[in-house]
Amino acid sequence: MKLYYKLALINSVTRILIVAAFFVFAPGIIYKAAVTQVDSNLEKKKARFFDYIVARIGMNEFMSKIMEDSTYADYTIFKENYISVEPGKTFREDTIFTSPRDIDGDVVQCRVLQHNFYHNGDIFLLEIGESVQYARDINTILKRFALYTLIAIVVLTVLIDLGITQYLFYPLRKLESKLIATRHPEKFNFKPIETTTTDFRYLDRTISDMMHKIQDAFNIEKEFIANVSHELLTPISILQTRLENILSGTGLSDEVQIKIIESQLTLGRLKQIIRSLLLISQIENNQAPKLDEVNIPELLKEVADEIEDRLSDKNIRLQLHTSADLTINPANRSLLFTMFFNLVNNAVKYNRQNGSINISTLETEDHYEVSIEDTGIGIAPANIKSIFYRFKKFNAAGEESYGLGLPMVKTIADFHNAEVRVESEQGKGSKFTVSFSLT
Amino acid sequence: MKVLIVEDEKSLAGEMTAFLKSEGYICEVAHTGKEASEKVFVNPYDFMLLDLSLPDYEGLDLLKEAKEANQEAAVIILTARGSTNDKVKGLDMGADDYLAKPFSLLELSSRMQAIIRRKHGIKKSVTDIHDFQIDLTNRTVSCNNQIIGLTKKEFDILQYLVINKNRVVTRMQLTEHIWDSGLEVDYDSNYVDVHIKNLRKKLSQYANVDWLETVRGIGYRINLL
Repeated sequence: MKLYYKLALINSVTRILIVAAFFVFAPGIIYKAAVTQVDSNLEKKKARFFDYIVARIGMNEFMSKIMEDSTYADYTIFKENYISVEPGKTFREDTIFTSPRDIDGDVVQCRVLQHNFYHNGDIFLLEIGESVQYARDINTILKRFALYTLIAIVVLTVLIDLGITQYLFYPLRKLESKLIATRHPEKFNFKPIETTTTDFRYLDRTISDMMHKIQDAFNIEKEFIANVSHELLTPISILQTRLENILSGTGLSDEVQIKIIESQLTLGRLKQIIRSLLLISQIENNQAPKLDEVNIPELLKEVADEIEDRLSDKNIRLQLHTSADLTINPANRSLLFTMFFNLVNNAVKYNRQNGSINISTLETEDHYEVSIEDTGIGIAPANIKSIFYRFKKFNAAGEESYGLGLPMVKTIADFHNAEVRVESEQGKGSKFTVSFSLT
Repeated sequence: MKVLIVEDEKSLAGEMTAFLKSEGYICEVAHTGKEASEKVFVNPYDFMLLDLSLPDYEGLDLLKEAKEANQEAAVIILTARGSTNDKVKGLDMGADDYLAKPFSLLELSSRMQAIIRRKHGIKKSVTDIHDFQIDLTNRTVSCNNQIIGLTKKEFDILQYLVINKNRVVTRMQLTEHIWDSGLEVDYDSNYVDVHIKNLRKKLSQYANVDWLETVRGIGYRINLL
């Protein structure tokens, strides 16, 4: 999952959790806060009540009034408060509790302060009540409207977050696309990405430094290969021409001539190995051009024609069925030719007398496959994994091989984004499939 | 025919000189680019065999100079670099052919002969070999005006033997000539022998082919007086 989406997801989840927590705990907290506020008000109002009575009416006069009516209730002394005084029965400490009270015909939830006091030896009970209905109302309103508002807030903030992270992560995405475009370190674009974020700058700079190092290593290797090829091929050239000159001279005994021929063959083998290694290295270092448009069925026909003269020796029947058509562009024609030639040549080399070779093509939804099937000696299961390693040889006695034919096949296939598969049964034959990706 | 061999490797230049002299060419050797650059301005050459990787000179520059000084000269590039790029550039700049080191001297001589035929507009390049007529331009072989059908490889082998007539051509030399160097060449295989056998069979239906001699253990030779 991309970092950008992860961040967006985490942000959304935490917001939703916060909102959910708010919904679970908010009503209680609001109510508790309201009650605390009201309770402290009630205490203040109790004090103010006695001040008021003493100042306005006089305590004795007020109390005598109470004695006459046995109760006093008023809602107007303090706004939004209900006050009653009546003779009490027992003296108790002040208590505050929640209880419904009838105020102007409506039953509302009130916090009620009960206070007992003595006047002239009698116990009286003062009740001061204050509505906490508004706290309940707030919670109801909250439940009704705030849900929508909060959902809107979550959505809005998540969207804003997405926008901001997208903006912040833009350099990272540019860096990513830069790396995707870099199929080979040689093709790396060293232009720094524009960003004010030091982390990204550091990342970009580090990658560029690494690429420089890789490029240097590649260049050294390329130079090495060029030098080695020159330094090895030149002495071989000298030996080859010298042997040719000696051979064309007169007066050599047959024995000497045959020795020279044998030396030439050994030299030829050395030459072949160096050329193969050189070719593999060149392809791996992206030094091989890819400038041709290659029609695979036509190429297979050419390979079959080229190989034809090698079939008669073992009386091998070669069948070519190219029903599916494919043109690869860009490709390296001579390398693809070499690849298929090596595969078919192996099919000839390791075939049995009167055997057959079947070359066929198959087009699937996203792949184009060329299969080369033979009736040869096959490959032991233990060896199948390492047949594409350089200098691994499992061939039957008497067949000449340098162990570079199949590694070259694999290198050329990789170079053309193709895959090589092999199925084989010992004694029955092998099937090599080159699968070109069509996507 | 005057040939300038530009090759910094003295032993190789020596072997090439010895071989080309035996083929009847007049040879001069330049071991450095500077020496070659002076020589091409002073003497006219029919051939320049040019090693592109000289220590003191950019090979392609030398090719340019050589072409300017000696427009008639045919140039064959010899290089061990094996870079296709060099090959394309060299041919673009007017080189006539390209040989990757290590090359066979017989291959060099047959390439030179092909260039001579092309340059001098030899239309009639028919060689008589005993009772057979070999047309190198149209790639046909005939006997008493009857054209004999040969495969491409059979003709290539016959032609190579004709060009190098009276000389033993080894199996290896024939193998290298008829199969592209990029492919896995099986030097030990008997494919060449199979081709020769088929060639003899086809030709002997028309006339005697004793002139195509097998030199036991070594190779083949066309004997022509």
